[in-house]
Amino acid sequence: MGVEGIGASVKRKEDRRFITGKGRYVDDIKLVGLTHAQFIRSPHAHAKVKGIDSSEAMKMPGVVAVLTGLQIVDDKVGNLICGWAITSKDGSPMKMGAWPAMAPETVRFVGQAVAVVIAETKNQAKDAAEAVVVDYEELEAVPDIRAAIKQGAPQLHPEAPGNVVYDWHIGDEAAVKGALPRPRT
Amino acid sequence: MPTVDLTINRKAVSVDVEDRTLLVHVLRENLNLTGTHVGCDTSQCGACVVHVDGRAVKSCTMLAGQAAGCDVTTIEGIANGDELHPMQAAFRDNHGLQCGYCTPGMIMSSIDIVNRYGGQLDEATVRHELEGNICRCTGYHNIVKSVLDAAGRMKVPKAAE
Repeated sequence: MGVEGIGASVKRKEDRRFITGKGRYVDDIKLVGLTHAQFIRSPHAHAKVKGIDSSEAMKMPGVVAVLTGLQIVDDKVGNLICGWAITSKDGSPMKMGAWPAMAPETVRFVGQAVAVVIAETKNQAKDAAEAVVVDYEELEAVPDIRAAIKQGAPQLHPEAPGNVVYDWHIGDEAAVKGALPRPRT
Repeated sequence: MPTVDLTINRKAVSVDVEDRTLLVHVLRENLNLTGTHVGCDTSQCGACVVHVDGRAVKSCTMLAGQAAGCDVTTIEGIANGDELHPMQAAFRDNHGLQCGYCTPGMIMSSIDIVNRYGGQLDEATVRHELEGNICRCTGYHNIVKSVLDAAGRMKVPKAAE
């Protein structure tokens, strides 16, 4: 509205393709020889992966490969990292469990990937994924924080005894307590 | 594989697809109309909205076979050559998009909303009618502004069916 320079409204340059449906989002990209992945995910919150049988899936049309968590270990693919390292109140570094892209031995949440089917079309990958047989041994799950830190709770990560990753605080606890109103009797 | 015949953006098409194929996948994979997006697996997000026989429909919740003989319009089909549809222009003019992923669905739903209300809309009605379209970026404020702006620009017959 007559403003120039700082404070002037600058129209975006990219809107045309988005409002006309001509954007190129990742799934819009088509390449010759493109394959599709369908992940196989745990229906259990906590379980051991005893074995994965992909023999039937490998025979199905269009299937290129079935890859598992064990292959991630074999191929020395690193684990997912945590972007922020926290130090506990006692000065010790946080005790983070291992998070590979697919679970090689133990699944720790419903939906954690254990294997992936690669095939020429999405439907072939989906169909083959249904033919992969995963042998799970269900373990007791701990879906609640207060239950997780109780004595005797199932231990989730060997790196985090008592299921505590860190016990952290920031600021001046005494000053905050002093500033808050006393609870009414 | 069964053949499905339908009209898409005023062109007659004939596609051979498995029975389980969703309309959104026919558009994106068979016809290369990738402006219609898949944003969820649960029919909640509305990124897939197109018009089927003049009504907004979530194309992820419809089998391609169900669209046989129907007239489908996608985001690619609403401009008039280089001339944008008033709803598209309104989204551009009111900063109604950021990443653009929800935008085709927002535009298609919004055209249907304006049509059904004969252009007589207020903010509360627009917000309510857009509950089937989810946006992660904008907070909806400018989307609502865009729709109300377009309602003023679109020539809609008062009593829409």
